[in-house]
Amino acid sequence: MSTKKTDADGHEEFVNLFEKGLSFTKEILAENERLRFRLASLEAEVDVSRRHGGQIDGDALVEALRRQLTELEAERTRLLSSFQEVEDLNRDYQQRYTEIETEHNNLANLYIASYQLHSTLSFREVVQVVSEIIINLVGVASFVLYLFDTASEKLEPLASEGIELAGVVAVDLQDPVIGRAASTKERYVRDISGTGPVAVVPLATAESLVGAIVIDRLLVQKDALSPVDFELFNLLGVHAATALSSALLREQAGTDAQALSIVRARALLA
Amino acid sequence: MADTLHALVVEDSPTMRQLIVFALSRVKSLKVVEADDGVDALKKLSQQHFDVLITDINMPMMDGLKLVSMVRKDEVHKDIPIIIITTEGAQEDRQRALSLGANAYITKPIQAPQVISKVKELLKLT
Repeated sequence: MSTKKTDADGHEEFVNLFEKGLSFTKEILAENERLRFRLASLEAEVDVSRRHGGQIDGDALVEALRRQLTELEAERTRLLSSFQEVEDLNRDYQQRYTEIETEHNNLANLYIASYQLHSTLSFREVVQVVSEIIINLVGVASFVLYLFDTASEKLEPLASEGIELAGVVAVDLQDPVIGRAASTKERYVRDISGTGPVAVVPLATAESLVGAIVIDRLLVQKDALSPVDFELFNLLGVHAATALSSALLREQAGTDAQALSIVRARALLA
Repeated sequence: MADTLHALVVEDSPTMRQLIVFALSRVKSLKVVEADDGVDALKKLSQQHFDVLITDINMPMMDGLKLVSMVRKDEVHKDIPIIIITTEGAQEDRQRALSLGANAYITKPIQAPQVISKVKELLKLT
């Protein structure tokens, strides 16, 4: 993918920033240590001077030391404050990095889902890709993919995972949950305490209803649907509908429809 | 250790394979080669050196368990780190793969950071 180099660079920049923060913190600590050592040296000098009947002015020296101590305290406070700022900054960057990382992964999932859905015009493969997205990207244990049959005006079961397809019956558009979600083209998501399907994702193009994905159960390690799952539902709602619809129509039309004709293309644009 | 490391990703699902390859593209100095199943993987293993092998279990032609078993018996590749991809429910397969010599496992649905972390750990890049 073209973002590869950018991702690596971004990561390197972030690591560099952390290293700079670490280096600055070390400098601050070294400076603090140096000042402490200097203070201890001065105190030792005074002590030695006193023991040897000192030839220095005691009051002036004490005053000088006090002044120096005050300066050192102020310096220490400033350094501690800087240290805290760097720590806060590091924490902010860490949090931001985690957020960007999550966003990046979510976008990757969406990109891959979209890419795969439109990578083939084989109906079988499109159904396979839709199933893989639901199972592997959303994390679903059992679901049914329905296709809207225009003749019977019912949602007919087409593929499933975790549920025996032969045992799944067609759903009327009057059905209060699945039928309603499909006919209104509005996604249904069950309340935490509710019963019935976990979610119903209508598949529809701008022109017509194509089908619906009914999620019955999530994988055991997945407690609930996450924001990226809803993004995947949005993507599937339109892109899976388009991919399924065009692949099915193409295969129904036979070999003639599989030839690209510039005459037809121009006629359609005329 | 060589400057460039090589990973072999064995997965029959194009969606999953792309997901893993995308995740690994973020590991510096790691080149990724893809294989559709165990047979394709063995062919690619015979053609070049790999530093890590990541394989799904359920695949046509030759599944991941058979692949792990064959790689561990091969003099040239017996020490290659192997990560298997399993589903949460497939605990028996996971145990079997680990007993056959797989080094680690990743559970579906996979997350990019999880893949990166395991690969780095096995390649001692952390």
